[in-house]
Amino acid sequence: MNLLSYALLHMRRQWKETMAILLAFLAVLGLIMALQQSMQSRQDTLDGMVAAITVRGLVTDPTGTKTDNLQISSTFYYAMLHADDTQPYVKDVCLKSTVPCTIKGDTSSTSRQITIITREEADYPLRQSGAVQYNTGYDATLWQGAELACVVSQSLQSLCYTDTDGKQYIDVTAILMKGMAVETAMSISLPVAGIAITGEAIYCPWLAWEQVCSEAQSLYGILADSFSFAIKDNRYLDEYREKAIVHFGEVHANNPDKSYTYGMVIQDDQYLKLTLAAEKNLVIFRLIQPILYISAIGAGALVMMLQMRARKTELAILRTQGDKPIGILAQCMLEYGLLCLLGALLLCLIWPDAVLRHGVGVLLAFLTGALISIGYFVSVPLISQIKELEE
Amino acid sequence: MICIKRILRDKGRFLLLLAALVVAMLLLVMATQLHGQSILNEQTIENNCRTTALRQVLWHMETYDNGRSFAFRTVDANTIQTLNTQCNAILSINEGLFCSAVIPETQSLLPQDIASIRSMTHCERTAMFAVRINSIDIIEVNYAGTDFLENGETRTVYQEYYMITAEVVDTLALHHQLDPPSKVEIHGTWLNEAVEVPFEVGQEYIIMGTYDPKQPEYASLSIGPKGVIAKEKQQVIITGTQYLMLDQYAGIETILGLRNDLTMKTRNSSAPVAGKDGLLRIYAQQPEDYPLYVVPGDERADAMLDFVQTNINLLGVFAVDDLYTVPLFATQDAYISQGRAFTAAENEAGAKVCLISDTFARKNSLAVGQTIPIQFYDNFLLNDLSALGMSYYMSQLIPGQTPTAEGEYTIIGFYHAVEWQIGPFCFSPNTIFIPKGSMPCKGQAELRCIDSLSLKNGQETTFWEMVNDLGLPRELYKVYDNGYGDYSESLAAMKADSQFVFLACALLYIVILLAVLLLMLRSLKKDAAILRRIGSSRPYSRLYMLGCLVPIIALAALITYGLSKLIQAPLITAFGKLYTLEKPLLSTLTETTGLLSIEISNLPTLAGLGAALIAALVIASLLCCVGRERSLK
Repeated sequence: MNLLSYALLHMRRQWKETMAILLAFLAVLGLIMALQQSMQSRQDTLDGMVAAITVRGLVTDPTGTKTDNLQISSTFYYAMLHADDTQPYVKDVCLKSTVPCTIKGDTSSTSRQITIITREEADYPLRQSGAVQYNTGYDATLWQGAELACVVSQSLQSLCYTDTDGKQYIDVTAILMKGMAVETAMSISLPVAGIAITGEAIYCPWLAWEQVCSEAQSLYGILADSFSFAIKDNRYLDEYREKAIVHFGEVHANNPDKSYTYGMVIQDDQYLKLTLAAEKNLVIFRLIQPILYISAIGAGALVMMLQMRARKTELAILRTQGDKPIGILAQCMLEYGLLCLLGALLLCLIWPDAVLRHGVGVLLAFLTGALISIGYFVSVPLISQIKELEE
Repeated sequence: MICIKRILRDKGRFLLLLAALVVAMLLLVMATQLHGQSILNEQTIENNCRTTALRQVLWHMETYDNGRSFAFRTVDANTIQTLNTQCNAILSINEGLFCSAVIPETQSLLPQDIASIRSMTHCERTAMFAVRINSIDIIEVNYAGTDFLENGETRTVYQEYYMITAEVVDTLALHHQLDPPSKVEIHGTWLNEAVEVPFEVGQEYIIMGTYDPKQPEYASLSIGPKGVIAKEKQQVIITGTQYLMLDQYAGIETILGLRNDLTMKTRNSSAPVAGKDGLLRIYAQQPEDYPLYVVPGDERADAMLDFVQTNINLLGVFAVDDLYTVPLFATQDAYISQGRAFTAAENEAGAKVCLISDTFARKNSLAVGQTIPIQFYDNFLLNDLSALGMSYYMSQLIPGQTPTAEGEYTIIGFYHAVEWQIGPFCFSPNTIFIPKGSMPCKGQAELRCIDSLSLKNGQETTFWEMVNDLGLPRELYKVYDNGYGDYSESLAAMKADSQFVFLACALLYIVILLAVLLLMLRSLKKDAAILRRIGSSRPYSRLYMLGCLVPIIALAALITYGLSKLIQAPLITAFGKLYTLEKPLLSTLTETTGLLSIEISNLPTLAGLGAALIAALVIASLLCCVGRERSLK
């Protein structure tokens, strides 16, 4: 209690010095918190980028120059397409395949194609024109479902007919591969789900067509001409790379890795450049973080050194009265500790979150510096102190 | 000297103050560097983020009584012009230029399935064959109209439809990816004014035109009112008509001529006509004096073969300011697969660098870093044909046309784009990208596949407001920013924080500086008062105080500089190695980048230090001048 009352007395009588120390501590605390806050905003930017930037992956031939007509078997895409909930890596899987067919009533051409897709984006013309007009009862979710229906190009509209149920249909005969070089023809009446402004095509949902293949006992299922996807969560991008490299090779236009049937390209250059720039700032701040705490120790030591120089006489008197160095140290620390705590509480009123997160660390660092300085002055022998004062 | 002695006499105090000053200066130097690095990184982010608005081909569907729907385009060009000129959110209107080019000893590419995407190619399909006619048959004769003669009489005009079958004797020029036909079927129409059938069975002729694998309806087009004849040395070069081949419906279509000023125009370029099938068509209008044939003796005919070969391997050149504003790159349907894109500096300097498609490079064994000669031709591209059927359609060179310019270009990268797809932004892999600054010829502008709008990052809302205000439909534009809008808020916060930290550091430096200088002056003022007592002038006493402070400040600056260099260099090197980002697996990243790149060590330490020094000197001078000497008690 004596120590406390002495500390308060001293603080009151030497209020200018007290204020100086308080301000010095507040400045150090404020600066470190500003830096921490800045680091947090950098982290937020980085997190924002990681979440917002779309990274797409693309399956190619081993040279990377061919991304269509690849004839990819389901071994390569099945897991990505059907285990959407269980695998954390990809989303928006775009698969496209074409099946030769003939259309009933079509006199202008004997060979047409059904384009099987998992999403509108899987077909470039469809994606680019972006203009599918869905009939009543249908919308873009058609592509993710297993309902057998189709979207036809407007140029094929004349081949559609309205059945007794009021729905539009188009009759096609698709050629499916039943086995090695064994084809089977399958006639299907496809409900028309919409009209597309593209050249001449019939579009069917992938999952629905898988059922058609299954019914036709097609050996190969659907062979995908093109295969692309987006990374679901960029935080797991590197993890995905490790998994993908097992099945797909690095592409190189002139020196393809012939041990792989397919190559893969992850279009991440922009993502990497952007996150790199954001990360640079963050890393530098992380690097200077320990330096800042060392600076806080230094600031504490320096301020206390200036203070203790002014209190040499007081220290000598206390020592001559019989006070032990440890007692004087405790008294000074209590005094400055209280002061700093007061400063931290004051700042807490303005900046509560940051102070609660970083205040304790800065307080401890500052007081450590103070302890070093005070310890140094207190440890000087009494004779030397008196001699120094006499000089 | 007196000042130095004074400092040395009280070295304990001055050393302490010197240390405080060094710490403060280090703080400011570090803050300056951090701020500089932040600005650099923010610039990197801004430069790598592009908000691009792409104009869509907008259609509305109209359903007719027969139940069929057709698409019609609804775009007001004037309103779009108003948007382009008045919208503050638009950073730049990216207008590329097009011309044709030839790289000697390289071959152009054609798609595997040429039949379904014939609209993307044209001049590459130019071909020349020697044929022998087997038969000439009149298929039908139809009434064509009535002519009113000058003498007041009338004459009935009939159209005669002929079919000529011929076998191919020799393939003189044909794209390497195409198979030569064995037979050719020439459908011709001419009016009954033709005095004789212009061909002879059993004779050899040379025909040239554009290989058309699947376009039977073109058979009905006329070959001209007087037929196409010229016989000399039993060879005729036939132009201005279209031919069909029997083999798999493959055909030869010629729409090229020999006039030097041959042009193709849309019948009504501002309002394309939608055909019955909803596709837009372009119509060739031949000038009246368009020659229908040349004979081999004609000097123009001598160059014919070279001309065909040139057309077969003709490439497109797109000259753009920024590769990433090209629509396909903006939509991520194209990317740099090897090497790099050209920089803004290279564009401004007109650097002779280029990017080619990886498919073309592979076909012709070209590598990044290789220098290639390019011959440029002023030519035109029919692009705005559009989303419904055609996309990329390079016109043919005309005979005798010489290169407009030539140059040696260094390949700095390969790109990969969606290939042979029909769409308004598609271009063929036979396309070379060069910086607009290095475009050696006039070039053709207003092309959908390279033109775009760059918006100021984060200003998308302003753009949409303007679009809305002008009454334009929102569907007219698609904006691609690859997620910038989602993190722009935190990016703005980051920028504000950077400035705040810098200001806080600067303020702290000033506070420490003031404290240190005031403490120094506190003891020096006693000396100044003594000096005044013994008769020194006030300026002298002030100069004395300043003289004591300046060496300390200078020494502090020197120590700070040494310390910052000592700490910084090894720190950056050590962490630079630790944080080097190398090309990850399967990535399209083409260069290795240091996370702590060299740029921080290149930041001028002296800038921060200079600011610290100047501030210290100014404040010291002010304090010395403004303060009064202590009174001696």
